[in-house]
Amino acid sequence: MNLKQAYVAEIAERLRTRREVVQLFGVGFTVVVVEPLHSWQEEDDVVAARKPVVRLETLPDGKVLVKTGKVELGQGSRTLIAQCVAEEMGIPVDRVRVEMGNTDTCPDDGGTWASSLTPETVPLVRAAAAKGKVRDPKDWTTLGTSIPSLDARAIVTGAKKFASDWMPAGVMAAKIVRPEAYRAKLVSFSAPPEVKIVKEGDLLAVVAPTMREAEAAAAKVKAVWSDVPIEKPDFRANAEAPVLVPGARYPGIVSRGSLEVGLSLAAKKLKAEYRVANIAQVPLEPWAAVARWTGERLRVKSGSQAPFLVRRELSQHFRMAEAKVTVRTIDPGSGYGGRQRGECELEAARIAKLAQAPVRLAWSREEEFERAYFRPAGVIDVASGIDAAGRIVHWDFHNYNSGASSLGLPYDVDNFYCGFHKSKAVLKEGSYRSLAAVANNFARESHIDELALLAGEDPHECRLKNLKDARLKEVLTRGAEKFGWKKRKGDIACNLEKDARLSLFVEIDEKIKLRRVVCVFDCGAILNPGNLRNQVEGAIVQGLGGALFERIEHDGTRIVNNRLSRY
Amino acid sequence: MGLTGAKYGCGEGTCGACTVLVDGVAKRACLIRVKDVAGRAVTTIEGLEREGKLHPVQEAFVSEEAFQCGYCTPGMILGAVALLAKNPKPSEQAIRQNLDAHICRCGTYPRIVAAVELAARGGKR
Repeated sequence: MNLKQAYVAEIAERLRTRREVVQLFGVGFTVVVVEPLHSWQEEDDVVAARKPVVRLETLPDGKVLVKTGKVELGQGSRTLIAQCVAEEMGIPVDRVRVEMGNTDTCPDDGGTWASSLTPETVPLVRAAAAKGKVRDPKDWTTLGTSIPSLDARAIVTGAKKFASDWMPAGVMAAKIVRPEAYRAKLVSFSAPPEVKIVKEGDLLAVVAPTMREAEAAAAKVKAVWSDVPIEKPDFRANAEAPVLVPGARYPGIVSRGSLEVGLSLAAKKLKAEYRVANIAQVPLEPWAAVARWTGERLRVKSGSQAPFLVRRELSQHFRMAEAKVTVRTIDPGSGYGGRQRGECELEAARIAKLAQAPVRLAWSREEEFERAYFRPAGVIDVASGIDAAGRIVHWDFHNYNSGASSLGLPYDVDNFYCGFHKSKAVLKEGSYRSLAAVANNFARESHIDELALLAGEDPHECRLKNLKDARLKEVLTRGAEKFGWKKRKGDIACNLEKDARLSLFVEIDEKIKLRRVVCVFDCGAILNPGNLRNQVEGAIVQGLGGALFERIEHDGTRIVNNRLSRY
Repeated sequence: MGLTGAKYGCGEGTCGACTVLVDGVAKRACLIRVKDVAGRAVTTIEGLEREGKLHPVQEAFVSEEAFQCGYCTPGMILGAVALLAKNPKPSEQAIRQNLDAHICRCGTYPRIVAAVELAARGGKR
């Protein structure tokens, strides 16, 4: 059984068990009082009660409580999950309450990553709510409609509490004393006697009753560091051979036919190299976590995208059972893939343990720039060939370091090879909005434009000629109509990822200033059109930053643009 | 005071998430000291709603769904309220210029501009 099969089997098993739990209660749902968790005491009660984790409960006020390990990052998951339950149970959305991202009370739906909410979690929630056959999309009355965000009023009134707003009474503020360098070893330090220091290895922090006091105290600490230089990246020299792991979400090799045959058919050949830079997530809310130890139990609240993964990280670090660790996500001020690992949570938990007090650690913007992870940098080499008719006959594509998502070739080519080479990153790297797909799309679509030029063809025609996939051709055709491709100068890209098809047309002026964007997106049945439009617009706007001006810069030791005013 | 509506985003007055109104003028809370506002009226996002009724700019943000995660929204709304107080019928360009010093990392800028325009039209589409 491969990883994916194991995961699917696990979900199926959980679903089956949950059904049984539900059936035990005869009427269909358990009846328990569950209020939002505002105090540690209430959390202790939940832990003490040790209730089995169920997907759905009916509350005494008649509302239905649905639980998911997924979290709300601004992508609209809370509203979508409520819509699923409302649709399948035939009740209004305002009768549904959603509890998210609590490792004690919610099913582990995997991290909030890889656009997996819709294809993986939505079917589970719908099945649980339907208690049998889910409703056909043609009969939908709630799903498929633009239900506004359930958080809207709380957002515009400032009532919505984000992870960094969580400041329970009696919690100490922590401030870490950091080196200026990106990486450094602590050599020595000194501090006035009134400053409460905690230290473990290279972790040096100050703990005080308030954030202000903690910051003032940290400024009094004199630490001597031995800087570790940031190496120059050499992604090709440090590359590993591509490997195909069965069942991988993003296969490391996608190929067909023979490159030798392809090359022999090529009338014109082209070689090019594409580079992508490290860019920062910069969620507007920098990371924050509250950690509290009670005996051998650890409780953490933070803005994690992956509370179950962070729970595992914490339990492994402290060598304790996962059951003794609780991670609860408070909605963060977004994440874009950047909050999957528990850097801040681990620091908060370590400091809380050392200080023997509950601790809140809130990173500054500079810390967020330096201590979180970046979108992977990389190099992509493409060698290709076209025949006399302008058809692509040869495609040899190698991505070094920047990820395997969207590695494959949506074009109709008989002989091609696409490989992702793991390599040595010089900065800490991880997921980013739109996955790693940006890097491969950028290289592939830029190269297609160059091939069109080589063939003396229109880039839109060149794409249509080399495509077989009817849905992808349709988004390109519709996009060209909307954009007015025949009359206006512009650039195109298209993509086939996770069974969705997308075309994007942009018009830029000679100063590389963006004039217009047209996007046509075929993503299958749409669960919430209003929210989808918001997400696509937002992704385009954010993507422009990476395309036009964002990049992380360092001087060999320090990240030099570690502030919004410099980034 | 337990008011968490004004958000920390950068600590250097670049992102606008901490925007509050000081005597009706938009200011970056991270750049002003408490003593600077002694005796002056400070309005945070929590003070915009009146008797359970949203301010027209808040209404417009809801109506345009001009947010995703919502972290920038309190500052964005207060920036817009200050702009409309000064210039009740701003051009699209004036809105863009005025809110340029506010960052929405989710990228909802087109909706934010539309929301401010909607509020300027008194909520009429």
